Amino acid sequence: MIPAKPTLVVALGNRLMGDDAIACDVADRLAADQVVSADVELVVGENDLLRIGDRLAEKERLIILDAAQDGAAPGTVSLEDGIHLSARPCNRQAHTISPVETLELLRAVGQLPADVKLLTISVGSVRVSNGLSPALERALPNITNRVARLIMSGRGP
Amino acid sequence: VTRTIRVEHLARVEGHGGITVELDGDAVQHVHFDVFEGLRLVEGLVRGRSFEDVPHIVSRICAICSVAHSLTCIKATEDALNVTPSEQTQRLRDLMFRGENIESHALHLFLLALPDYLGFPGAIAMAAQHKSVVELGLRLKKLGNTIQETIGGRAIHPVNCVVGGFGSLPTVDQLTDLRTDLQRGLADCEEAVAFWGTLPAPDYCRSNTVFAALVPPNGYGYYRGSDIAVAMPHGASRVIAAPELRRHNNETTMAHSHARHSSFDGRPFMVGALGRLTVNGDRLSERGVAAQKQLGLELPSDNPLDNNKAQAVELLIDVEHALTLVESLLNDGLQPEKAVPVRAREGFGTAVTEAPRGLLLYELAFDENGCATTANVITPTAFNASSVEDHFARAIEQSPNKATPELTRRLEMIARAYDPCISCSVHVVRR
Repeated sequence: MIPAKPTLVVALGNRLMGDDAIACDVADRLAADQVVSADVELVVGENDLLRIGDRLAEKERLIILDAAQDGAAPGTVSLEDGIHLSARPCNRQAHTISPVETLELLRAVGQLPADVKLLTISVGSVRVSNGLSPALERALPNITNRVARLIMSGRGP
Repeated sequence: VTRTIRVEHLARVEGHGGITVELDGDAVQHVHFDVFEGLRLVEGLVRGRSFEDVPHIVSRICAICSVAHSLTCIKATEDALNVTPSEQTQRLRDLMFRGENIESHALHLFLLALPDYLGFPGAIAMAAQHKSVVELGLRLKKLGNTIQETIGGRAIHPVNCVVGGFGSLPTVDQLTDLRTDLQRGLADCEEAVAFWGTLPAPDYCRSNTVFAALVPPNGYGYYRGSDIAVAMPHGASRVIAAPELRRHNNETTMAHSHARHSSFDGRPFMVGALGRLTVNGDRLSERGVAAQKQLGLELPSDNPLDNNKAQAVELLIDVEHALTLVESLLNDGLQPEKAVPVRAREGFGTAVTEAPRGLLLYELAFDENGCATTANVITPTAFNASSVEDHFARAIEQSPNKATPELTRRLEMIARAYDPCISCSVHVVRR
């Protein structure tokens, strides 16, 4: 049976760590502006993907939306196929079952959608603070539009 | 000859921590449970914030214990502001605690602790050969999530819990669905207990342990009440009121840890599922007693690894109790009540509850505008930090095989049996 909302977008990030929360802020804005279609479910997962792991099994397509310290200019939006996730270096997270490990675990028990993508937003420094840096705050509308387009198209930027 | 056993990064626990043991020959010289997680700073962040905001901020101390942090903060705030929530609110909060405990215990037992027992480095490797067991754990974890989401409004960091009550109430349809899920979950719990009953019982750390746990006014629970029982070895026990705990627990800053260490009148003490069963074991339901017997768990226990068995017992009785709560809410009918109005005032409040890993203490002070002026949070893993070091030392002394790999394996299993939440445990440290 096809789920009512076959695509799940999960935003990860820590709202107490400044720009680390960019994905959560983008998801909030996407939800408020209703710019993604009705077949897309948006969830702000904050810092624990496994906690909503059960929702993944019933979806056809999963998009993980996260901040990335990847050296690209802050605000850069990138999309990659999740099939390569297991090859990514896995930093120890505050909760040791990291998002990458969670995806691997769910894949091992057959509860991961076939189509998994990682949508990242590049950030500069991540430090304890409330709110985004001024640069990312200003860029938030543009970033949100680009993320929305990628979610709806599933294609690269 | 001296040597050092060092676990730089303790795997399969919540947060960042390690173990350092120095031996002179076979004699233990120093034992450290290293907590180097970044400072939590949340007590500072809430200063000046309205009592309405504080529960949502402290919830961010930890995702896995966010219900306990939110509701214990609310309980302390209600103590400070002289607010008495309704009986229905208390039952719904009790239900949320059960949900969090179910989720946390399922995660710990099946994904963090179990790989040690089955000889796998982690849950992912284990899942390839024990798919049905991992699926069982994930189903129970989902059940805990569902309870929290139904009552708290979100799967992560509840938004529906407010000082005085709830922002909105679950619908009858939601509670009816939850009842069906819990009925199925009870069968899963029976399976979980039966499975854990087949596992070998590690027995290499015996110690005269002091336990502490909340004593609810009635039954076996985690939220209501403000008395703490401290059970000494050989049967003696003391009961103290929550506000007195700070006078006894002698919090001390340690050079090797961002978590302060606690002791009860100078003795390390253990909190968590095993402590709760030690203190409140005579309140178990028939199912709980049967599960305890099936698991071979004898109380009082002097083996910290029995905390895993104690969690398996709680998993079962929590689902059972949650089902009873939901049925009673459906039978009685949900009253369409609003949260009790709160008047800002100056005040100081204390609350203790039982988070999945044990006693959680909140102390909050507010000014006349209802803004927080001071906050103090002591988490279960901070309470346990001294006890786990004591058990590390006992395990080394009692292990016939003193080879480093075997000792390392045993120390890691003890640490994981405590189910530490290291990210919760770090206090602001002033030296």
